[in-house]
Amino acid sequence: MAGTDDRDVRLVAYADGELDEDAARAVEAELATSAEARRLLGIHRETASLLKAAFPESRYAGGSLPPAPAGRARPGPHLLARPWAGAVAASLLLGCIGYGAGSLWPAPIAAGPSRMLAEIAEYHALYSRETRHLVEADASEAEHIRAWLGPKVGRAIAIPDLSAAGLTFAGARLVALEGQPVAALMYTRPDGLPVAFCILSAPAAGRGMLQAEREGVGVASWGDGTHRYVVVGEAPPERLRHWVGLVQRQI
Amino acid sequence: MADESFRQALTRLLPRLRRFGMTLTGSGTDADELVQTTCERVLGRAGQLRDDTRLDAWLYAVMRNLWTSELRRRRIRRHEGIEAAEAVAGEDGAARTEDRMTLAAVRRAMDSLPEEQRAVLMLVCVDGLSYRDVSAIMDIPIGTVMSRLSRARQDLHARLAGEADGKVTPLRPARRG
Repeated sequence: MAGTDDRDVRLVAYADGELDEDAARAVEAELATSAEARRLLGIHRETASLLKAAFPESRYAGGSLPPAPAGRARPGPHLLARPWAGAVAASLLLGCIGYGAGSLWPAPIAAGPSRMLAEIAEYHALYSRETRHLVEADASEAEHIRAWLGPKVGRAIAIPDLSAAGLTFAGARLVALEGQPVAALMYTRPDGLPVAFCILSAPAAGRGMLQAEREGVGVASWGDGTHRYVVVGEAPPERLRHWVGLVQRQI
Repeated sequence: MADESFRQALTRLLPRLRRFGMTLTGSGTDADELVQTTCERVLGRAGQLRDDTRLDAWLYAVMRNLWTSELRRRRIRRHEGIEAAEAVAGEDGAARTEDRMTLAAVRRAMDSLPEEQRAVLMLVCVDGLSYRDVSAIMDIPIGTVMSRLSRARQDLHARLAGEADGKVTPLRPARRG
């Protein structure tokens, strides 16, 4: 009803201190005689208090500014240079906890399940169990892997040595997400399913380090302004971090 | 405003920018990238600020414009839960369980509102901005700010009441309000 709606709009504005003197006096007169108006005002005030308590600034603390621009600010309105790249980045984050020291945006920020996340998870769940056909190019073809996948993702392919973590490079495969290439370097281990280190072009990917876990599969993802990197495998968070540390020191 | 003092002011506002980014995008990743893009846009442009400009309102407006452009470009709307983010971020250990449950319910209820309603609630009730500032940020008339706030509060209260009654309050995708 329009009358009820109008009254509620006025009550909300009164609760927010947005009415001028005359309008405020009119509301106060109504409050003096209407229990319903008092009840509604109480609800609006309580709602505002609850919201303030539920979203304190401290929950979003952390982070730092990007470096001062050398010239013009990055042109164009696009946050993500490629729609799929952003979707992939988001999709990797089942529920993510930032942890990386030195990350540009290290505070906990998370994303929920998404279509692309499901794709990444499905890809890894599928390929990591294909023990006989884990890779398309074997580890012995390292030079071919670099020449093959480098141009696909637009950067030199570094093949990290993760033997210190008990991971053996098995080779690589090309994964397509919405028709776009992702280089997946596969590693095997004696005590579990394979682990993948993935590289994809993502020119506007955030630099924050994010970690997620769902159904035992850990995912860590970070960007460097041109690419997004992902380490995925069944592992507890601390082991995933160890793998990420090894990768980061070598790329 | 001098560049260094502008950077300092911007740094102080980062948590609030991130919070508003989450409110707009519903996604931690998108929020981070939106904040980063916003900062990149405004750094070096301190000179564009008039003395009477509220920095936070100006930044929110930039964020909102960038996000609107991004949505238009993507031609999709994606919604990922604020509550999901909060759930993994961890709760305040000092808070009592009952309080945590209440606040978690508020976040879930907030998450179920359409983006437009979330934004005005966040800007007015949490950030404490005036209707006039919110009108400028959201590029809508003040009357729309008021009606949207009223509807948002009613919807939020209804969802909270539903939870308190033990009813299931579905977390549904954002809809326009």
